[in-house]
This record gives sequence, C-alpha cells and structure tokens, in this order.
Amino acid sequence: MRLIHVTSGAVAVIAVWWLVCGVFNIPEYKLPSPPVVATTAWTFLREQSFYGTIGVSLFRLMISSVLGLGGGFLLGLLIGLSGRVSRLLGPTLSFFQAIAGITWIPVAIVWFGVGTPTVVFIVTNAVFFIMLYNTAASVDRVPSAWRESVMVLGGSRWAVLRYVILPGALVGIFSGLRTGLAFGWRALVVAEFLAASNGIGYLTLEASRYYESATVLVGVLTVGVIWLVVDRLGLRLVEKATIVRWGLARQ
Amino acid sequence: MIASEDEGPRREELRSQRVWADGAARAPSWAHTGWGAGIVPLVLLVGLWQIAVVVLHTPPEIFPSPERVVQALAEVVRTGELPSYVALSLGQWIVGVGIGIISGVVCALVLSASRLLVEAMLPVANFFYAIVEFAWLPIFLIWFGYGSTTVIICVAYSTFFPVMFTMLSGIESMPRSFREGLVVLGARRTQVLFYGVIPGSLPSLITGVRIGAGFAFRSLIGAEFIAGFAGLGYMVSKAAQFREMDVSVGGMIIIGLAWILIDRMYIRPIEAATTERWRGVQ
Repeated sequence: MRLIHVTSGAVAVIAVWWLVCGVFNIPEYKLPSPPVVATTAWTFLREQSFYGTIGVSLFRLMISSVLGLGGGFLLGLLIGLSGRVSRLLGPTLSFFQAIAGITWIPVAIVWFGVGTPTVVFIVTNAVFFIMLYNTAASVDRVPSAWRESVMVLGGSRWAVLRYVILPGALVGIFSGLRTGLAFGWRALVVAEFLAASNGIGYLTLEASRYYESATVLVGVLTVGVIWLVVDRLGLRLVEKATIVRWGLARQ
Repeated sequence: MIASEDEGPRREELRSQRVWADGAARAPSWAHTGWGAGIVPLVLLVGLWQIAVVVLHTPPEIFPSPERVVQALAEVVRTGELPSYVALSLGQWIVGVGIGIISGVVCALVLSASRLLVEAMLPVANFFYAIVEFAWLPIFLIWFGYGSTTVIICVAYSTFFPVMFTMLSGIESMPRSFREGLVVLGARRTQVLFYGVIPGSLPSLITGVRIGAGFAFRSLIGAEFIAGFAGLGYMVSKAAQFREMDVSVGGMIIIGLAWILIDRMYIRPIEAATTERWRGVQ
C-alpha cells in the first residue's frame, strides 16, 4: 500500500509536467516533455562515457571527502578537547568557515587552473570546515562529568578519549559527516560548473549553453539520484551499522 | 547532538534524518569567543600573507598583498560599487529566504493536513531536495536568463526544503493533546491551525529557518558566480576573470564578514531567544 502512495506522488509530478508541456505549448528548448527526457536519459545510460563522467565526479567527491572529513575530524577533536586552542583559533576558523568551499572558486581557478585539483580543493575546503565545526562542537558538548568520572576512576587521558569523548561525540560527528558531504556535493556541482572540463556538473552546464534542455534535465536528475544513493544507501547504512546499532540515535 | 538529557528522541530523529547547515543547535563555546586571544592568529595570518607576497615576489595579478586588497576595497567603496553590490546581494538573499520560508511553511501546513498527501509527496520532496539547488541553475538560466530572478529562485529553492521538512516534523511531533485540547474547547479548524499548530511547531520552524538561511547564503554566492550580473558573488567572479585578484580576494573577505555578521547579529540571537527558551516546552 505504501509503495503505491510513494509512486503516486512521482506519477502525479510527471503527469503535471507532461500536461504543462502540452497545454501551454512550451517549446522544447525550454521544457522538454517527459518522453523526450526519458529517451535522452536512455541514450545516456547506454553510453559508456556517461558512466565515466559520473565516475569522475564521484572520484573527486571521494578524495575530497577523505581529506576533508579526516582533516576536519582530527582538527575538530583537537579544538574540542583543548579550551585554549579553541579560544585561540576560534575567530580565524569561523571566518574561514564563512567563506568555505564555493566562495573560493574564482580565486582557485586563477591559482590552480581548471581541472580536478581545483575541484578537489574546493570540495575539500567545504567538507573540512563543516566537519571541523561539528566535531569540535560535539566534543565540546560531552558532559564534563563523564570525563571526570573516568579520570576519578584512574583512567588515562587516552582512556577518556576512547571511552568517553569519542562515543559521546559520535552522533554529532556523524551529523558533521552527513552535513559535510551534503555541502561537499553542492560545492562539487558548482565547482564542476566553473572549474572543470568534465564531470556531471560540466555536462549539465555545457548542455545549457547549447539549449539542450533534455540533456540538462538528465544531468539534473543524475545529480539527484547520485546524492540519494550516496546519502540513503551509503550514509544511512553506515549510520545504521554504528550509531543506530549502538542506540545513540532513533531511526 | 546531545545537548542535554531532556532533548529526547525527537531531536535525535530530526538530526539523524536531515542535513543541517551546521549541525549544532547551539554554537560551541569557541564560537562565542570574544575578540580576545583569538585575534592573534588572524593578525599572524595577515602578517604571514604579507611576508609571503614580499618574499615570493608573487605577481599581484595572481596573489595580491594585503595592502593591495585593502586599497582595492577602498576603491570599490569610493566608487559606490561595493555598497550597492552588498545591498543587492543582501536584498536577493532576504527576498529568496522570505519566499523560501513562506512557501515552506505553506507546503508543510498543506501536507500535514492529510496522511495520504504526506506519504505520496514526501518521497518526491526528498528527491527534489537531493537535487542540489545549483544543479537547477543551467535550467533556470534557460528559463529566466541571467540576473536577480535566477539568483533569488535559487536562494528560495535552497531555503524551502529545510524549512518545510523541519516544520512538517515539528507539526507531526507536536503533542496531540495540543490539537485535541483545542477541539474539545470548541475550536474550528482554522482556530486549531492558528492557535495550536503554528505556535506548536514554531521552534522547529525557527531551527529550519536558521539552517535554510545558511544554505541560502551559500546558494546566493554560488548563484551569483554563475548567473548574477551584480552583487558580491558577481564582483568576486568577474574580478577573478579579469585577473583583478585584489578586488576578488577583497570581495571574499567581505562575503565572509557579511555572513559572520548576519549569523552573530541576527540568526543566533533569534534562535537563542526562541528555541532555547522554548526548549522546555517540548
């Protein structure tokens, strides 16, 4: 029953889309009708280069994620743990977070040219600061009573870290991971618009230059599908295996 | 994030399901830092920057010195360009956020009226949310061309989803006693709406607005890079294209300062005054 409800929404949207195209006689370059988009999509899906394009984008996302999440986590841990470091670096990091990711694109293009290094720089920048902020905030929020109780029982700083801080901050860290990737993906799309000559973002913008709206819509849908796959299948599964299983979050 | 014991499952559910602008419901202690020791690294950074420029003999078209950036900024202020760009960018942001909030609230209210509607449309909404607002820019360019309309729509799109989702979640997790109590007292549907549903979901709405505003600001800049012909983002982008890096970097700094100001002066206080105070009500 639920499945019917779920698909009925999608069907309704597609139906409205089709109707609008027909009733208002919208030219194809503005809004191609669903069958046109479907045919174009099918053409792309059969072409191997399309998967190469997606692969390039995902590859960039992957590298940037590893760098950004890893770096953000480590520095965030340090900042969350040390009051002195956090007070010292706070304003600086806040400022760089305000301009994280996308804002750097024009400057990065001038410095690093067009291509994967620039895109990776932008996306890593975006992911890093979000992850940093979330990790620092969640480490900071771990009740000091927990920390102190381990120390009172004779635990070393390492024990405090492992048994209190990390588990306690885990939910927030995961939140940072998801948010970081979300921002990273946004930054990737924009970076590929401006600073790349391949990838799904580049494909979409290029098509719009030639008014190939059907291709543009295929690109748009691909962006959505990729993020859904990454978020729902990838991240949700990781969350299920960890924080949900450990009872830290309700699903 | 576990802020306190009484936060309860609802917040956890919200947070684990949705993507936030910055995750924390309350800023960490270091974000409230006054300009004490924290100013030192910034000053050091600027100092290092200046030294790097001098030592590396970088051409000003690629890597300008702090001095040149300040001069360039002073120049654009003098010509009146910067103030008008700032005003335009902020104006676009406010209009976009406003449209996003209103449509988000309306959609949340409409959807919450019927279980069937929610079940049918939520997956659709999730899919459109997964389509990053920037991905629509090429189509928006074809439909509306370059300029404010495209930018505002992009900003509104990015604000709409967080607002709608959090509001919907807030409406759904509102204790049924709110609604039923009003009905028992003889309230009509509209009265239940105005006196029960809207105030009851207001804390969630505020959170959604904060997140949406954050997304919206980034959308603003990105959209201006691609589709603007005036505004802060446009200034940064065009200056870089013409290798006027001093203006470009200066623009970036202004963007950063603008966001910090908006966040500290408006968004955080609003949230502190509302959600934090009302947290016990949940």
